[in-house]
Amino acid sequence: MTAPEDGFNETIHAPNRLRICAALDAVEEIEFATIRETLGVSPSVLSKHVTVLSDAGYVEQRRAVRETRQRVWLRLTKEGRAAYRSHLAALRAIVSADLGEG
Amino acid sequence: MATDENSRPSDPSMPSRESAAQALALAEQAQAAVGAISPGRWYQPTLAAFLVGIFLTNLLPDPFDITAVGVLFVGMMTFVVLQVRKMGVMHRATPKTGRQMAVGAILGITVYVTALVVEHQADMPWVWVPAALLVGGGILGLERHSRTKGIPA
Repeated sequence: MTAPEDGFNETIHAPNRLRICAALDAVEEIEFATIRETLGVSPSVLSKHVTVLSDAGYVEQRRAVRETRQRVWLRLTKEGRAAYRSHLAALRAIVSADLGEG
Repeated sequence: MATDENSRPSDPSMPSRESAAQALALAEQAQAAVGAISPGRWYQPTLAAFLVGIFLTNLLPDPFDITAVGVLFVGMMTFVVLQVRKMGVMHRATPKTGRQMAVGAILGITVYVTALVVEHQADMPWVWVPAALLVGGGILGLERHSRTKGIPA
């Protein structure tokens, strides 16, 4: 049996980063403003967490112009998706392990 | 060191069960919120109208039919791209959406080929009208079906 520690990821576990990864896992690609509105966070907070995830190689950014303004589109990288799913599996293992204990 | 498989994780940096459950709930909420972003109620009817138009172009004389098909096809593709940009999200093609797209494509191609054969064999050009309505209705039916079984908010 895989130990929960194996997939647990400190970078992803921070609540806002976990929500960002969860949102990105559900889509192919999403615009910065759309994910900001959906998650209800400020642009600076979102930008900070996206930078952390990008530096870890979990999120990639693409710039595109719409209505003369530059928009940023975000997507999970292959590594990011794998890390997020391993992290979810680790969380589920923790929950179910403790349930088994009780 | 704990050896019991059911014991709490030995690493102090690992979250407790409650914390892990809260994190899972947060992730599910975020996924549901993003999954609920849809292109708006006029997206599918407009798409269906474009397809109906493409079918009905077969009633036009040469060379207007091929011109109209080209214009409508380009219009439809432009509409789809603009909608995705406006919505700000490109959803993932899940196996379920893949199946729906396959069913839609098979339905459209089958109806198109059948209407083409009927028109040429039986000289019944009006067959394009029921064919167009069938495809347009099919698209709307698939859309209503997917909305009814949509992602819980």
